[in-house]
Amino acid sequence: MADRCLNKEELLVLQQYIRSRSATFAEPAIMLELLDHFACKVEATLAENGKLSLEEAMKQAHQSFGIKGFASLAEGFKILTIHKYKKYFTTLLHKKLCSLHTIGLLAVALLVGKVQFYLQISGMDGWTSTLRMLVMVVYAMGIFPYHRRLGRNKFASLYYEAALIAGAGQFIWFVMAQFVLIGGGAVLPVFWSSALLGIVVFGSGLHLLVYQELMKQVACDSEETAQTWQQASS
Amino acid sequence: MERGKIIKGSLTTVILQLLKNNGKMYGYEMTKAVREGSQGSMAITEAALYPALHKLEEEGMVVTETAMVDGRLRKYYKLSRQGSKESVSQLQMLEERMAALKKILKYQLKNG
Repeated sequence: MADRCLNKEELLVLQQYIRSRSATFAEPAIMLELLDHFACKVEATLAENGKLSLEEAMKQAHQSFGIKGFASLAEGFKILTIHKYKKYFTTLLHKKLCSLHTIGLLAVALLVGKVQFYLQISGMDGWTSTLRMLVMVVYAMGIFPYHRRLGRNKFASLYYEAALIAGAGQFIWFVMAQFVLIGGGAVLPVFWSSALLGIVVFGSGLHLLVYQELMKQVACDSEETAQTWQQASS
Repeated sequence: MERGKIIKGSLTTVILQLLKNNGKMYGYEMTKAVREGSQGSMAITEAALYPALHKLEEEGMVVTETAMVDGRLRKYYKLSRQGSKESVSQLQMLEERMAALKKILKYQLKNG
């Protein structure tokens, strides 16, 4: 059984075949994960039966991956990435909580809470609503640039999605807190309404700091994938 | 029962042992090693191998490195220091389980 090594054009055909199975497999990070294993299998199939065409060998090699095809490998990679980011998110959260950032955030939260308190006791209800809106706008402005930059980058989309899933629990917590803030602000006594706003400012500020660090990691990972991809394509 | 597949639970031990004996390996090489090592009587499917490898990577038992081979990127897995220790204890556990299994298979009730 003679060894058979696929050339560059044949590897491109293999990439095309993988891509044709599902759009998920076209993600560069997943393609890099799949291609070598698939190529090894195709080479072994061709070496066993030299009369087979590349298309036939690809079909046979694909069938040998089992009923789920490439999906098990792709899913495994995605889950690994999500778990990696979840771990990183928790580590960052602990790190930020033990840093000077906490003192700064507490000061800002206290200031915002106090401003809200004085606005409410002065009967300036219009301004208190503006203050709450401002908190939400600042948070959205902190998140949006990353969404624009990474969500549309083909090398980052998988990592970005994984990072969003990894941080989803915290994000849901924040949204719920905002709802409590909006609803509670109108119902609760002045002191508690202001304290609630302070807590939300602290929580969302902390989340924003961690989120930004996480997105830096996403950018770093996607940059690495882009470089590897270019290296493999050249 | 599917004869060809590696018994669930021993897959991690097999991977760690393969890496211990061969230094660094890539995914396809592992499936080939199991097939050739068992003279075709056992096999690891990709659907079982990769989740196990990813789990080991996540737990810090294996580390990865990539290299360009034959015009494509290849991911190699190798044991970390923690993985080396784990491979010894896992092998020991597997041997104990195999010995226990042998005893069970030979067991007869005294008054049965």
